[in-house]
Amino acid sequence: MAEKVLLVDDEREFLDAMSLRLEARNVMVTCASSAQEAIERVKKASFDAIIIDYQLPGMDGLKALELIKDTRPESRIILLTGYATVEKRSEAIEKGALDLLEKPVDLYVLCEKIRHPSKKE
Amino acid sequence: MTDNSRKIQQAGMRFTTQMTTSATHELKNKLGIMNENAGLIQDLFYMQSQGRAVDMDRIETISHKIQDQVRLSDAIIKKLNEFVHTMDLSVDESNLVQSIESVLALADRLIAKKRCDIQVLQPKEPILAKANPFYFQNLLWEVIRAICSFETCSGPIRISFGEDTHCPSILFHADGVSEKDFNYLIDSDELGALTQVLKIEPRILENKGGLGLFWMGSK
Repeated sequence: MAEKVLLVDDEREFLDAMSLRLEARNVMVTCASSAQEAIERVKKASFDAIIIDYQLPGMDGLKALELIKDTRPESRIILLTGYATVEKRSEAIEKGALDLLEKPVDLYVLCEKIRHPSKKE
Repeated sequence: MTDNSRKIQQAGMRFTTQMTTSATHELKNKLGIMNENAGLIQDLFYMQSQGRAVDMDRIETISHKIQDQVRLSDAIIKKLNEFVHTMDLSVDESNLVQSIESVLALADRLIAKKRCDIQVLQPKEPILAKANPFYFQNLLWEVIRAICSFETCSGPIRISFGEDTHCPSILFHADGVSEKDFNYLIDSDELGALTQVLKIEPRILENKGGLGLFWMGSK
């Protein structure tokens, strides 16, 4: 069965290309271009994984993670960032993220995280 | 080192960090888009190897998207390069509109994060003023950053230019930002130190509301 993923990024071009590539790998993608839109979508539907850009306008990915977790604590959230640091990754995981990955992201790694969330690197 | 030069140095370091962080973050986003589009082309060729026909129009569209991102990245790198070179010049004749546009281009990501809309009202003629270009751009950013941070700011920030060519000026207006807020900004250490070294006077615009930066030296 195809995994259902919510992909959140304010760059339309990124959403378009990434969603096509994930769909080619049998992942069903719903897109949101802001944290607020993502929170609204999470209230209405459940997803197997939520992929959020760390630096979104208005509300950053970390804050969005907290609000999504308030609504659906079981959500598996993967944050994407331009610059991943050990501290940033630790903070994200501490707040409940499945992981924090650096852009440009390795799609194989991302798909593994979506399909096998408990698998260690 | 005097107290003023220490404040200027601190403001300059913060400004440099913020501009480079914002611009390089934007570059990483562009790389992310290019990476996904290049990956899409690879996916299409993989599908072809599995016997599915490749839509060449789609390949062309994707390659144009990559070229667009290269062009946008190149513009960011040029702005970043120009910015770094402002540190080489002690005093230069600055085009005020160009200086503002450079700061806005570099700080695009930071401004977007704060969800601020900034409108630059173009003057009829180019307005030039002598200033240290690095300190000047630092001052512009201090003002823009502070206005974006006022929670009462409810509308677009409008930046316009004074008509008096003997006393060039830049005028900032923002709905919801009070005279008290602007006074708080004028009284800040960084703004005080930068306006002093640039010989620019910050003034509250009493009739229309807002803040003006006025060159007190000759043009």
